[in-house]
Amino acid sequence: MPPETEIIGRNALVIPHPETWGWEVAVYLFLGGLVAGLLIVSAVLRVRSRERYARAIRAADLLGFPLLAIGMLLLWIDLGQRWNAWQFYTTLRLSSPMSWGSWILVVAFAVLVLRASAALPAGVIRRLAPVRWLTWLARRTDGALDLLALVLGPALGAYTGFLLSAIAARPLWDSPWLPVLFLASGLDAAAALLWSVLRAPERRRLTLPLLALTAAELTVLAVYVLGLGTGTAAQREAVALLTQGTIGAIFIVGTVLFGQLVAITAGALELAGRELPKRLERIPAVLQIGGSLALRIAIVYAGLRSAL
Amino acid sequence: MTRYGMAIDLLRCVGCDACLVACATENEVPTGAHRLRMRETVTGTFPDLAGEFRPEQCYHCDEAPCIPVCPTGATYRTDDGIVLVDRAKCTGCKACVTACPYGMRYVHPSGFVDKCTFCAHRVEQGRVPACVETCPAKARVFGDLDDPSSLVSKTIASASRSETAPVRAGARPKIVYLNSRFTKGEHDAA
Repeated sequence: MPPETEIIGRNALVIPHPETWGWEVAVYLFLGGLVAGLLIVSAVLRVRSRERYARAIRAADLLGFPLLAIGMLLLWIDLGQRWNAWQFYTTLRLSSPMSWGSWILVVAFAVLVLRASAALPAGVIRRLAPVRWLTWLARRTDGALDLLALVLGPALGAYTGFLLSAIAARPLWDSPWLPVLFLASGLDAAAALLWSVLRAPERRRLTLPLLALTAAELTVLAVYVLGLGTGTAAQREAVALLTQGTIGAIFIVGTVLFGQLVAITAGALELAGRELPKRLERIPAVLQIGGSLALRIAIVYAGLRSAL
Repeated sequence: MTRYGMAIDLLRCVGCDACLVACATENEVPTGAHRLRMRETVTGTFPDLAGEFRPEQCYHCDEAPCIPVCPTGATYRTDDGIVLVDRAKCTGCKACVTACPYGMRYVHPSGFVDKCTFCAHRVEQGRVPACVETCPAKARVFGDLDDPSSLVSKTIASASRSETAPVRAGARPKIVYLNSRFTKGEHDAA
């Protein structure tokens, strides 16, 4: 008969499992990944053809800054001692992915502010002196910003995966595939977001790359789940959390079914010339973006419930 | 070099919770939070029952997983092996709380992370932690684990059975449980 255990003097925060991080962190992980994807996709499209992909590049530039700003605000709200946030910038601790991330966020924020300024309508740029200056700076450093975006994008997209995977106490996160999964998911969500804001002729150019990114994310997700499912007893128990209760519903329905399978099906149909009706055509992309959010929610909440 | 640790004799511990109260009083732990906890385990089928009280607190691990994850260096280990939190540097990001495989940290209502400090302020004065001083059953012994002549080292050496707190996530706990009637893992049902 298993032991009956009663714990006196319990902290509700840590028993039966730590309720340390909540929806703020899950949403930030999603927004951070999305912005990372926008940085990378925008940089790649610039290299391929600025003229051909001008609308997509402009959409990425305009969306990146406000999305990252919201994400950073959520992170700040989550802190227990918010007015100590400046302490992050008194050191760079190589052992702490959160420390790397605090610096990556600041640099990414600066890059995105410059990109957003230069993407604003000409009338706005003319009227506001600070925006004029930022736009001038963005245009002068355009090449450097492209290079920086190609470095920052993967860094921003992957560091959150490293942050979670560094926490060995939570077996669901103890996988080398987590940074790859978060980066793939961010790229996929960003491509879906750009796809959904473009007009039909421009969208068609992104359909195949978007389908490839979705398939890549699904592959990495499968490898991540299988890796844990064939790992230690603690990892097997942890991955089972992704199939149970509310978290299981969010993961299976939100991430896998809507976020991946519906998107892949819609993309394949479009490539085969069988497009969805106009009023439904953006739904798969929206579901895909929602799936990326659902992935972060499932992994954060299930991870906190997993234990050695 | 001094390496502070503790031995807790589970045959002596009667689960009175005096250590919990002494800790909360000495360290002004806020209501509802606890730096220490008491795990009571009962096995068997009535009337053949066996039970044990096991006090738990931060184990001040030698390879503490909470230290490398801290982004500001607020969590650190002193030269004598006590793991502390510098409240002035703590942002309350809760990475350390999440990283602790034993669930020994909590977020203070003021926003910083808190946990057992081995009453470092008392140790500096040459005294023992409040939980050690208070224990009516003399179940707790504190001292330098690296000094074979220290009371804690002698107590561990003379115990018929001794084992450290379970090793998880590579941590090397510095609290040793003596004379447990259960094998490792049996305590961890909850």
